[in-house]
Amino acid sequence: MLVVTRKKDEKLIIGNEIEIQVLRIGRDNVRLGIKAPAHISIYRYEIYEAIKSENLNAVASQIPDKETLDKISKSMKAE
Amino acid sequence: MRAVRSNDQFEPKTKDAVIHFPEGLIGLAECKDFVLIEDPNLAPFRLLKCVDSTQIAFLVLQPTTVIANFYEYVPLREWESIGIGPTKESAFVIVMIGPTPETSTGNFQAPLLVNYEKLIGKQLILTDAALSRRHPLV
Repeated sequence: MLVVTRKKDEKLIIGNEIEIQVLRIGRDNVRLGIKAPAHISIYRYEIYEAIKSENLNAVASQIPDKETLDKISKSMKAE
Repeated sequence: MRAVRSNDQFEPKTKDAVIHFPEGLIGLAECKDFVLIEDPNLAPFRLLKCVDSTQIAFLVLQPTTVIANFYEYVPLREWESIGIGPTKESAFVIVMIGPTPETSTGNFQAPLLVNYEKLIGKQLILTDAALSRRHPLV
């Protein structure tokens, strides 16, 4: 892992397009500003991990039978 | 124990177009090309199947069948990032089928968007909307 020290308002650049700036340094946290092209997704790591684990859980190697799906479908009603 | 079917029996027909997910799905970056299989035996669900791996497939559902105005929760910039405007038909959520309809859920926090014309798709995380990763389907 690359480790760099930055002061308030200083920036990093990743590749040609992604800029990260230290906006504020608090006692237990730092506030970062990130500038990136629209196609780059930026998420807090914890939420990304949660969705990742949800995706892996949802891999459907077995598909429920038609009756099970029909039963769900019949009870589904858009709110 | 309810009967189950192997996802192998749902093979893409040749006309099923391959949808490219440039970033893959979240946590599954190795799988970037999928077919979206429609089958009367699955409806209203569909099977999103990775073309590179027979092991990876997801049951998906149009979220509007559960939350009618779902597409309003997706920020305009997300639709634009794959070159479309807000449309019901272009959004899907990954579902997990439980032992009963009441325990079956969909990941409404991380929907998939598909541009059928350009055949590209992406999964995004809705961080502003209060939508659950395990929203009940019924």
